[in-house]
Amino acid sequence: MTDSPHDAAETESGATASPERAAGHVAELDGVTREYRSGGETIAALADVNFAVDPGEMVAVIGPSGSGKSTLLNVLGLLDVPTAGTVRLDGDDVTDYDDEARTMARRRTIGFVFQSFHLVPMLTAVENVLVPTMFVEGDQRPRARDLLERVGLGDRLDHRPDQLSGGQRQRVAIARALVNEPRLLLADEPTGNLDRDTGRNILDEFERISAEEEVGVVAVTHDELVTEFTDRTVELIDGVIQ
Amino acid sequence: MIDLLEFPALRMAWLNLRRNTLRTGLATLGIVIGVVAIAAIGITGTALQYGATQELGGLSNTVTVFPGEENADNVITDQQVDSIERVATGAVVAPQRSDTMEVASRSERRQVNVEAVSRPAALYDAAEGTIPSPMRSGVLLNADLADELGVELGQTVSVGGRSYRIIAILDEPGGFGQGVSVVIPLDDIDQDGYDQVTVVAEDGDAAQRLAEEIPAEVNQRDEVVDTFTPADIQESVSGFFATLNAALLGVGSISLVVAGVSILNVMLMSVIERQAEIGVFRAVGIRRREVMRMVVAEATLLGVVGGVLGVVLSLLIGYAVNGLLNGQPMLVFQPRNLEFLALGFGFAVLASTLSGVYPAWKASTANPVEVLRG
Ligand SMILES: Nc1ncnc2c1ncn2[C@@H]1O[C@H](COP(=O)(O)OP(=O)(O)OP(=O)(O)O)[C@@H](O)[C@H]1O
Ligand SMILES: [Mg+2]
Repeated sequence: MTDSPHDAAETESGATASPERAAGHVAELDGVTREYRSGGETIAALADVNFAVDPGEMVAVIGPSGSGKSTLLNVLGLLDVPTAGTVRLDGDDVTDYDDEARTMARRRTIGFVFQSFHLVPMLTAVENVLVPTMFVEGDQRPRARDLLERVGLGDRLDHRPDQLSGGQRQRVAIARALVNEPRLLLADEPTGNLDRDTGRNILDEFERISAEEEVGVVAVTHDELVTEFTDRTVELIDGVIQ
Repeated sequence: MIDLLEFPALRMAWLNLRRNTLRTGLATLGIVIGVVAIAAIGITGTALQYGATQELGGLSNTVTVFPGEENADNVITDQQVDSIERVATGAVVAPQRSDTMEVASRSERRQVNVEAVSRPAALYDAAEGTIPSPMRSGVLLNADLADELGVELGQTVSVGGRSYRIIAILDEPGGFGQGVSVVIPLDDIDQDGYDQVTVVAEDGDAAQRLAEEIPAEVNQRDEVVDTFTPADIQESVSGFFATLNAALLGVGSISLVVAGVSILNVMLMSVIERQAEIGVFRAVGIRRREVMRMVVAEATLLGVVGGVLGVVLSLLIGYAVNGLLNGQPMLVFQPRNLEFLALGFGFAVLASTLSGVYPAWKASTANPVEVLRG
């Protein structure tokens, strides 16, 4: 694995927003194609996609199953690498980052919320929130408690996931996604496993975060409800933005 | 307990081990058995060797010179004794005669082997009374024989028809055919030359050297004298135990390797089960090497826990064995045994840590995209 210059910023915590960054896009896809080769044929999960999120903006990505929504999110979140095109994060071209550099970029600027929460079962709510900062200098405990209080879990700090409801778990997951003060929050079906009312609460939360913290939020959903909360809705069909 | 932010890898390792206690317990058991195989067996070997060495006791620095195969008269002459004295400078040279005679008290009589020595003090220890040097009169009796004859220090017995006062009771266990029952002054057995000469050297090494040098000096042409030293036995006993220990350490090492393989297996299983969780770790910005650190810490922790249990168990076993074999349970804390314990513990930790490396690497390659789908 090659040593990339981006490793240097390891101890830099959170977003140090420079003026030019604040003005530009948080994340940007420029002509991104992602192909999967299975058997003889090639499937384009994303085909020449241009997409951008601004700070404080909340975008919903909708589309039928298999249309490439998760792929879009994974490429934006530096979990997946495009076959062609350019990915920019906070203005930096990150397309050719190696695994280490992408990991460090995720650690610094991106927060994830997953459909099935994916909390660590043996850890308390506070500890789960702290997971992304485990190997980073500095004590984020006060921030973790503060975040849990803000999502209404001030009285559940030391509960383990099996002692929490689905909605509470997802709120812990949201607090975890925010502990590193991300500039970009990515959520894949965040309300998929929740009932309607709980889902509404979670979306309220996202809306507040994007507005208050100047975070760009991209939420993938099947759920028509989500679009009520977002600034903009993007529809994907067969890997193409409509 | 362990703080997540201070020692993240250790904290995660500890929690993951507690997640499936049965599996952790079985993996630990393998390590414990391996450590016990090395340490407890090593300690038992030390105890056996200690016992065998005690049995040979203070004899190990003596050389017995006796007539060789080509000695026509089957005796050692004064001249040969002089030669021996020349070679064995600084050692005590005690010519001996022996004969089977009747030893009798007022009530009992026995046919026993009687030794005639001028300086028995160099060869034997007294339990009661003192052994004069040189001894010109009186008799030394072994405690068992004195019992059988019903006599005590200061009383008289007859040896070969002559009357002797008992001037000392011998403190001789008489193991290894070296036992002695009756000792009288050298000249009281009247014969030319001597049946054997005992040389008391400084230590076992000196004894082994003299056992070589004396025949070389005395046997100019014919093999008129031959030598024997318990130091040789001592050495072969040590050699035997060294070989035995090496073999047992081999067995112990193999069992630790086996334990390592079972840890590898257990860790691989648990890492595969936890793939989704590890994928989340990777997604939220935990690096490959940090994931590896967590998994290796888990394996090392298994080794440490198993190693500590194994050491404790080995100490208990060693305590019992030393108590039974040598009557001195505290001998378990000999430096040599501590080496075995350190070896067992070190090897346990090493084997389990190495076993964690592959599962750790496997875990670190988990692709977040793959594991988060579904
Ligand atoms: N690892 C892969 N190998 C082969 N094809 C893949 C792989 N991952 C995704 N695809 C294909 O890419 C396309 C887009 O998949 P993606 O998961 O992005 O869809 P989606 O919009 O998230 O669907 P859903 O709403 O069901 O989650 C699908 O046709 C899928 O079969
Ligand atoms: Mg999807």
